Amino acid sequence: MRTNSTAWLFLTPAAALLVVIGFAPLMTMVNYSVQDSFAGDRFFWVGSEWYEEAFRSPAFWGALGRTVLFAIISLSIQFGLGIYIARKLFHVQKHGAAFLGILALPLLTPWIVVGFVWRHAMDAEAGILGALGSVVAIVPDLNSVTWVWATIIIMDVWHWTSFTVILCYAGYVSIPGPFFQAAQIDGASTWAVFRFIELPKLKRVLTVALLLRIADSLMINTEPQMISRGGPHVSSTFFSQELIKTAMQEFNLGEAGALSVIYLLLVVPISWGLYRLMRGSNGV
Amino acid sequence: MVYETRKRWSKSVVLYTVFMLVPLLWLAVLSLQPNSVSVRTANVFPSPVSLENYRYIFAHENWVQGYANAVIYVAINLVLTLAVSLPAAFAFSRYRFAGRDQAFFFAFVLRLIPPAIMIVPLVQMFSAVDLVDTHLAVALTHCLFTVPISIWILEGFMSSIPIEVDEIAAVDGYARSSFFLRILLPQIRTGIGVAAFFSFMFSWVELTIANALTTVDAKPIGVVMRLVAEPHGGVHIGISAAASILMLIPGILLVWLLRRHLARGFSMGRVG
Repeated sequence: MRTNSTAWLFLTPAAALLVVIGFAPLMTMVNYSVQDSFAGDRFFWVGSEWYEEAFRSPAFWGALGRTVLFAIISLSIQFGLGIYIARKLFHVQKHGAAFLGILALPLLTPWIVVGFVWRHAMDAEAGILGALGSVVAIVPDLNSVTWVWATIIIMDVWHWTSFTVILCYAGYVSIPGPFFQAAQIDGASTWAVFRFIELPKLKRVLTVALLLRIADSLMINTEPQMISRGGPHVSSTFFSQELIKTAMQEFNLGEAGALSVIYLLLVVPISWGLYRLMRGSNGV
Repeated sequence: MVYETRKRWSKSVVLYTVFMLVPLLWLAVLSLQPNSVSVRTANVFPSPVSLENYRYIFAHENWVQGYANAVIYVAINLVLTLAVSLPAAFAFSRYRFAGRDQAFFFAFVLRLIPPAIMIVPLVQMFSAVDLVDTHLAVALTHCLFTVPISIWILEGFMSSIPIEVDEIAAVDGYARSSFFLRILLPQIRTGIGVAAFFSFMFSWVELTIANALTTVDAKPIGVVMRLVAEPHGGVHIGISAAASILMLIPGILLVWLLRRHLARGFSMGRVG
């Protein structure tokens, strides 16, 4: 292993790209968050005004709260179900690996298509799930908060559970067979095998999956926009939708900047914790 | 019971697979029947079978061009992503240097930022250099999300190849560059495939950025579809479904190309 500053030579293209496309726009938003503008081109310093406004804004806290609630519900189902399916695929299912191709399809489906198909599927007469529900007198109604939330969560479970399945399956494949044989000779219970052999071996892939899924579910936007446009009223408006509304429709860049900064201050520490966990678990 | 040598069919796996497939198959049904049928009844098979939706798409330049636009920026993004991530991953995998861990996390933090935060500054920035509404602008912006994860994946795969391989190659007279191209790259084929999968899984499916940075010339098919599929506007289900099916094809192709790597590749190079 070399200790060498030429490493930065290899890093320069990536670093330059990320600084220009990522860091510079981010700093622009930070800049907006402490300024106000006249006629869109003359800026002056306003200090923490936008932050105070954001902290007092029920729209912001509402959207943030809904986003966190959505992420918790949706990720719990995705990870529970995902681990369960990966386990069945690995231990029980004939030709388990052959299923992965089909399961990967939702991940590669454009988000607008996901939103479109789930919205139309819930139509009480012409939607495949709605019509099915109507037969047994459970009629979906996308004007009700409960149905909108149920639809968005089922949609997200459909969309992303495969991600956990594929990563966990790869984790399972890497567990040496003798581990399981030894456990069987010892008469270990299914739960003990899962808890003490499988879970430790899956820890790394699960952390990777969790880190990415937390980030992505907190920025969900296109799909719920297709399902309900944030409604009824604001009951399904998530953080990204609120932010886009503030920045692009109300052109309130100061408040949008403050919202962005507060959001990052909340998300980065969580990610850092998970990141340490992940890097720690493979000894790098 | 735990370690079964005789495999069978698992009910939960089959049920789950059916759940995955129903919306996609139903999209195919919607795309193959006239819109007037789709808005009234939920058919399980298209009746009557009609290609009018596909005909409509192929007869309209903005749809065809939209499809081409999406393919173009995804391809540019893929090339750019691999071109900058491979050397960066090599640095992280083979060198110890000051700020290594922080740089790695910094790249990753950028991946956590919602596109919604970046849109306004990015539009201003690309306007300043006259790049708004170009494929390059979309591809570059998508790099913000595809490069960090590619570096991460490729670094994992490179690190799984022991450093002794480098040393033996050096003794055999390979220069750094030819070692990289002729020995290291072929060994991390799977990693490159997985990195491509992740890049595609963002660039092809994402719409927030692609919508904000394009107006006419580089507008992707998803945006064209959104214009006719807005929830409370006049949704044309048939055409939207046909466009959706067309948008699924590249994903199916990618899964086919990666079929041998799907089972193991996603352990991210490192095991356990």
